[in-house]
Amino acid sequence: MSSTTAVFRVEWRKLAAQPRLRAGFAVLLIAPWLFIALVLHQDRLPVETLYGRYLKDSGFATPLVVLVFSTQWIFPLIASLISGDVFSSEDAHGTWKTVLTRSVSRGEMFWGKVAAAFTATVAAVVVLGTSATLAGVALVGSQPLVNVGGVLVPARSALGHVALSWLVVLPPVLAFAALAIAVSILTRSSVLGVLVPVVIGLVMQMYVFLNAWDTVRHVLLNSPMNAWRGLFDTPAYTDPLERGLLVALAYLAASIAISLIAFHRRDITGG
Amino acid sequence: MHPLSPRLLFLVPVATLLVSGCTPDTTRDRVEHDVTATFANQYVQSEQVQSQPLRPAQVRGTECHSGLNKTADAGPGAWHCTISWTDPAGGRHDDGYVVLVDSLGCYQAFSDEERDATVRSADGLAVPDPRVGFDGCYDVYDGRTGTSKA
Amino acid sequence: MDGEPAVRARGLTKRYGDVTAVDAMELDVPVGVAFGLLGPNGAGKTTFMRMLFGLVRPDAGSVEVFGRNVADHGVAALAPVAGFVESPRFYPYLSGRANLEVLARLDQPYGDGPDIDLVLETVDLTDRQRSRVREYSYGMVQRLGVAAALLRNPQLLVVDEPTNGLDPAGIRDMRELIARLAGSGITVLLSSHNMLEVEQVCDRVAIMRRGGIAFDGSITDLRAMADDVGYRLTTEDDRRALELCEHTPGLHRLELGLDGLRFEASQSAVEDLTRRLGAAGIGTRELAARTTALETLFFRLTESRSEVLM
Ligand SMILES: Nc1ncnc2c1ncn2[C@@H]1O[C@H](COP(=O)(O)OP(=O)(O)OP(=O)(O)O)[C@@H](O)[C@H]1O
Ligand SMILES: [Mg+2]
Repeated sequence: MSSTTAVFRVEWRKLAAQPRLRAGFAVLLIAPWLFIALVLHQDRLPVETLYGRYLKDSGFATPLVVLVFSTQWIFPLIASLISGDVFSSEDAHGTWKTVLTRSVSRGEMFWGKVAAAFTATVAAVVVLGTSATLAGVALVGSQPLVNVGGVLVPARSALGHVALSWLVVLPPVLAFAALAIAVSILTRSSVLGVLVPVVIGLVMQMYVFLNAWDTVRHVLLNSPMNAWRGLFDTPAYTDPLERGLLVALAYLAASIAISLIAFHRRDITGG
Repeated sequence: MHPLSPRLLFLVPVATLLVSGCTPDTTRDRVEHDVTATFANQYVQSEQVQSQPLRPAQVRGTECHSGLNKTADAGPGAWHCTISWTDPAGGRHDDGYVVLVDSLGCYQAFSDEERDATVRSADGLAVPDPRVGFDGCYDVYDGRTGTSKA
Repeated sequence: MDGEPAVRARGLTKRYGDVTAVDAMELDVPVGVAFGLLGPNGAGKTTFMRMLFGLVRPDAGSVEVFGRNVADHGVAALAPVAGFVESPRFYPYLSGRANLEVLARLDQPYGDGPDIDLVLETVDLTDRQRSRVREYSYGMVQRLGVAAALLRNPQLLVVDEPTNGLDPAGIRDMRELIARLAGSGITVLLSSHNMLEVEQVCDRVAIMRRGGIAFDGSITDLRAMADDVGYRLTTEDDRRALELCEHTPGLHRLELGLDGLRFEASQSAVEDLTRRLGAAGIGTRELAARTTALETLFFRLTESRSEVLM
């Protein structure tokens, strides 16, 4: 137990020491401000994006538009950039033998690393969501927002809905992270660990754009990624959210199970 | 255990998949129902923006057809809807809207004619009329599965 | 020296596809000795050490460390063990000190090792502790590997070819360090393909050959077996010298190479040969020992095809 915590803290320190990750967080912090500043500077609005038409009317539209964009490819990218590397970087540096000859079992190593990857992923989502909300409120204001039911929602309640929407995308985002972990454990390659989940995310996204069999789409991670939309309708509905959570949990559980088994069985021969 | 049960265990999910696979997410019933409800709310907003004492309109209904799908009114893409409503003075309106439906159960609606129409708000500013463009979402798992072209 | 040995391997086997890297290996490393594991490239030394550390799962057999089976007890069995296999590896983007801090954190549940300053001092890295490992030379990484092992305050130190790739001064320092640690009561298991190194540092030796143990005993035992030394002889007429050698008793593995005659012989046989060369009027240009006695034995043990010498 305490060893898992030790691994978690070590991973956290290693993540923080990597300039790549710090740069990534800086981008997440700044990008929403740039985005809304550019929108305010222009006459036209992205009206063909959900909530795009309200960007100048209420600051709460900013985090929702950013959320719509993020569910398409930013979240898969964030999840795999962080998680696709946490295991395979040890292969790249040949350091498995270094850390696994200390007083940490494979199980503790696994869970500590998974916990660190998930925490960093959640932190990235929280940073982006918070930054987008602050940018919207600071540069546009905290006016009431029209929801997808055509109802004007007061600021306080709109803020609550924004927070809830960003919260419920976490399970599918973590499912992507778990997918990245599985790929990076199976291939032992950081490049593939990052690339494969992003490609999977893009393929899923392309399938959504295709007008193809809807049932397949229900079991893709896009469904849970977009299930928040129903929460901000009048009346609100939660069917997609409930089903989507099951889908996300299935991806999560399958990926983690495969990863755990593969990690326990592997021989550390490199390095 | 019933001798058939292993086969049933396999068949039931497959059958469910096939049946639900035949029911599209984007159906005429869902689009019509949601556009009607959302338009009614947007109308109320339009009145409120102008700070008028609310003149209640009656939205009689909406007829929508898929522009892409020639065999059934189903599937995402550009749809066309006609919203029929009666204003407080009794005038009947049939307004055409282009409705861009995505595959995840949300859409953007744009009025055919008055796309950039504005109304004057209480403080004298010209603001976009909430009636002529709006977003909406509907539950793709509800019971409104009708896709008839008629 | 009663009780459990520091390391006990029984029937230990590891296959990689068709290659049997370690083949039914049997070995006891007594507590408190400096134990040399000798073998040519590919003999299975590293694979054995990986199994000892639990990095690689044996296909058959077991390794015990101080009486506890590594497969059953995992990290608990390995609590008194530290070291590295092949060249030590660290996070290149962290400083040497940060790497040790990270590893110390992973040791914490059992940790009461010497502090980081002390182990850095021991391996003479205090000056460069703040530099990133990326900027370290090969020898510095090797020394950091020893420091990382010492941090665990081990009762058993396992090092795989620790002088590999070091310059002569580095080799000397590393050997001195290991000898000093061995002298302080730590059991040391050291692998090498350098007989001289094992002779200098170790008091017991096992020679591995194609996954198995070809010899296991003290250095003294080994010396007793090793009587013949490899020689190279050049004369004014090597053909005649060859003929003469063929009739001299006690000369083995005689062959004529480009740089002269090569053979193995005991001391007395060589003395005899020089007398005969003189008597036959063949002028000797050079007579040199090619290998030490133990090296000759090492080659005989590890290169012979059929016989297994125990
Ligand atoms: N990961 C691996 N995959 C396939 N074969 C391997 C692997 N690791 C080792 N081997 C094979 O196992 C045998 C023993 O290798 P090992 O590395 O244990 O030898 P060694 O005694 O340490 O050699 P060296 O002195 O070169 O370090 C060799 O034939 C090697 O090719
Ligand atoms: Mg080796």
